[in-house]
Amino acid sequence: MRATLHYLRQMHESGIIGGYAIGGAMAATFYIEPVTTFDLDVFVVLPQEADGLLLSLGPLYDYLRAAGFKEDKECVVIHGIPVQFLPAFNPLVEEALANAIETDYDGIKVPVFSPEHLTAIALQTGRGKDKARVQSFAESGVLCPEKLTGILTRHGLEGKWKSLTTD
Amino acid sequence: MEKPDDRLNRAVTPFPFGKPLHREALRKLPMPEKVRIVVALQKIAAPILRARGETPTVWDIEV
Repeated sequence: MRATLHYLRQMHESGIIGGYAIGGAMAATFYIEPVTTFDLDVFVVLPQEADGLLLSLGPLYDYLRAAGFKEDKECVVIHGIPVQFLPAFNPLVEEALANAIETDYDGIKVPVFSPEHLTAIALQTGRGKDKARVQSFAESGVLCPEKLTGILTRHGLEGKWKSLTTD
Repeated sequence: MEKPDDRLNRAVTPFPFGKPLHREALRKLPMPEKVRIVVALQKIAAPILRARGETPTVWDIEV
């Protein structure tokens, strides 16, 4: 894990990826109890191509392939861990990426989505495991109520929050 | 001498608080220890997923 996170840092510092942050189940694991997951979700800002607006993960995968890492379904296995690169695909994820928290993992600096953004993303996504994650965050005491309210209001998620946490 | 009911009460009383306390203890673990737990969970889940035709990759965190 440490080697994987170190490699991601190097990719960022060498400009292969722009801003990046850990999201999904592993990001949640930084704040709450561990849950089963098989991939490490890494949200990225891809460098803009000079001639157009189209963003593609293609050059990133080409780079990793050339570096000798193998693909595994939608992931690339980097130092033993399947990593899924995901572009920021909506305003909430863009905001989460811009406000990621620099966290320490065994001496490596790792940007991780905040617990409030992870909660909002889980509400927005709304699968069974996302609802369970919202409940875990709600019970954990790690959420800042003011920060969470701001995010939920900006992204129209107050109703979902109320319906899930008052049942 | 302690009555059997007392022993029973002592054993049962903490039960409603056991799960939240356990989850709190898990939340407070250092992240590398949490990752080791994730891998242990993967090893439990992987055979079940393989039986369903999926091909999960258990992490090699010793790399």
